[in-house]
Amino acid sequence: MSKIFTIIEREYTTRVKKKSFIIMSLLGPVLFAAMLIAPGLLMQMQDTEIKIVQVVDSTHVFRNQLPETDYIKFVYTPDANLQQYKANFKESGFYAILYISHNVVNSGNAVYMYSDKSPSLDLRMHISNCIEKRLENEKLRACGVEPEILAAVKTRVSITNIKITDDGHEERDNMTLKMVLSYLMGFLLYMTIFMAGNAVMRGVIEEKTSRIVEVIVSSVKPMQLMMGKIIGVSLVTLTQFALWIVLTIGLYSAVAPLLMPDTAKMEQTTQLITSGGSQIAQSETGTNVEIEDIKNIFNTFESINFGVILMTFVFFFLGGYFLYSAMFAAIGSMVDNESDTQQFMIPVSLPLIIALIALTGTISNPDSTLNFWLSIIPFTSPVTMLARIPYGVPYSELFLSAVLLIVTFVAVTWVASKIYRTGILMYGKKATLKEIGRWIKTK
Amino acid sequence: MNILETNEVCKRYGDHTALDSVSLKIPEGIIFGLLGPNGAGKTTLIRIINQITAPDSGTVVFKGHNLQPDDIAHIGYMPEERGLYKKMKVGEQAVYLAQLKGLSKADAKRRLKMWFEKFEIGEWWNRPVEELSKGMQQKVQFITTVLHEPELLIFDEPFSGFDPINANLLKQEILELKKKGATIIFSTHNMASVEEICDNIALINKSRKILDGTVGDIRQQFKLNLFELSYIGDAEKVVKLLEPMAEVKEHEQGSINHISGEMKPGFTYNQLLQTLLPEVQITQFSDVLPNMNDIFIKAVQNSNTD
Repeated sequence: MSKIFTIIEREYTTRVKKKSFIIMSLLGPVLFAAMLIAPGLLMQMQDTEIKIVQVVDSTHVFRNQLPETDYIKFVYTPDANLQQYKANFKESGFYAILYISHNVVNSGNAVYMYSDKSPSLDLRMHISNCIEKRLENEKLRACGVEPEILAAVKTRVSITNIKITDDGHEERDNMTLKMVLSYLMGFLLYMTIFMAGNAVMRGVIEEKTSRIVEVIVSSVKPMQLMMGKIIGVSLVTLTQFALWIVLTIGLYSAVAPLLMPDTAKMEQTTQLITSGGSQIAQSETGTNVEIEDIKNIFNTFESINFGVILMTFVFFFLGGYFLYSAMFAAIGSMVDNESDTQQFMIPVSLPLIIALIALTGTISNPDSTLNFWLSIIPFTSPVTMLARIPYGVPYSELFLSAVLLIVTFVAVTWVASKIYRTGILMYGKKATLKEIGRWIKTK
Repeated sequence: MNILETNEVCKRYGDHTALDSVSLKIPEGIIFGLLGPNGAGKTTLIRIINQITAPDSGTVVFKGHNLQPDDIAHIGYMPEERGLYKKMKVGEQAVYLAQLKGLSKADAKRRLKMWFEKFEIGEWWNRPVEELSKGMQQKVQFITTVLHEPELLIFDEPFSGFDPINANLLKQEILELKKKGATIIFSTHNMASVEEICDNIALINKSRKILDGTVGDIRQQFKLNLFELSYIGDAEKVVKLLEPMAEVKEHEQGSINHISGEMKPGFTYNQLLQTLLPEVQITQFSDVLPNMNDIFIKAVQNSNTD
């Protein structure tokens, strides 16, 4: 028994010491932290230059009507003498000249901006939105609809999902967040099973082509060598995950305050929002909905049981990984070099690929019959079940899926080890399916 | 006492019979040559002894008991298809292989240091295997095979890949191991080395054992009554005297004449010598035994035509 630990130790340490492992472990968190920080940072990096735009309005409809922001200001000219303003543009110091021609009422293409720079998308969006809104109001007024009436009939609807839990509790739900989480989990599992399974297969091929395998199987049972390798690689992958999580959190909490001093303020606001500060918001009906959204996300975050997710992730990762890596090890033992693996890899990994293709369906309709079965059948269950987890899965289904996965993995490993045992000592000739069948049957 | 016996060992792969009722007895403390053409079943037999594969029927007895998994700690095996992890450091790798044979880490390190010094590869301890020359890799391979001081050593084609200097070094080490009391099974095509170092042999052809015994007995068994004679005297007279009892194949004449010939059936060397002694001065007479190479070819051909 101690020999299998010796094998696990070697498989683990040689991989963890590899440059590629160290680089991946460090680069991953930098990427993840960047993904977390980037959106906030981009928001902060908004243009803070104050832009004064000279408005030359030949319709006179927009005079003093375009709303200004902190960074966009408008100066209205008394007359519509465009040529003259254009000639004086350099000395005037304005950011741009906005020319609104008479045609604007009929055609959307009647607004021009003159500038020696390329106006930012922000600025252009702001101006076109304002003009559209103003025109809309004017046209409605011409039809006899007052803006006050218009404001009164406008209602923004956002559905609040409330999930009734098993113990009769009501929980607020945010579908978007769950969908993102669900997709990430399913995809991550697919990726890691594939990558770790491939690492096992490459290890088997390495031992076979370097011809060390016969020396080793004269000291240990082939089954021990195979399991030692599979377990060793799984520990490497789990180590990488642990490093990613710890380093990402560490990096994020170290770098975020430096890059975004406002986060502290933001957190205060969110605390205010979550602790029932909605009275403040109530006065403004427009922002109320947005605040509800944010509240929703926070509620959902709280309602998601990350402990369960982490546990199921580790379980289904290990289950799926053991299942597939045993098959990959058998494939590795049947061939002499990596390029010969393709013909076996495709049929074996097909169920996993199906689960990945079905993933978009899984996240939008997690409880459909198809997804139920995909999450029960062991060859697809790791990916599909993980994608269903954030939405909540009955314990009975989880249990059934887990038991089936374990049973299948034991059976598949048994068959795989039979192929492996014979395959690793076969050199030079490609095995036919008939021969492989015989390998499985020999005692 | 026999350290290893195989009794009626059979192994089949599908329609192909790899071993057909092979029984061997290997006495303790000898060098045993396992000979046979390619594909005869030698490697299969060796794999069965190493418990890499199991026989379909028949038993293997090691030191008086049926072979058990624990026995691998007392067996050292250097396969024909051998190699090392290319990226792993030499020292680490040797320690790892020793641990798999049941040695503790500290014990393995201590013994390895000694062997590495002996083979003058100590400075390579921390280098990856791929930087070593093929000959040095073979040395490492040999060290890892003998490190756990097994009682039974199995070398499958040990000299393939060794240059003559290292091959000689390896031969000396094998003889040294024998002196220390180890039993060595030695599978090879190199018949010269068989005559030189093997005590017993078994010849396997087409999955059957066709010949076994001590090297001396087998050469006697295959002898063709060939002799070599050197004498001083009248050559014509000698030829005339020899004619009834022997056939002269070569006759070299000079100050001393040399004859190589073959006895005719029913005559003995003594009769020949008695006839010649009164007539010429005999300086040398010897019986010519066939070499292992000839025996190998002859035995295999005989068994193929059967």
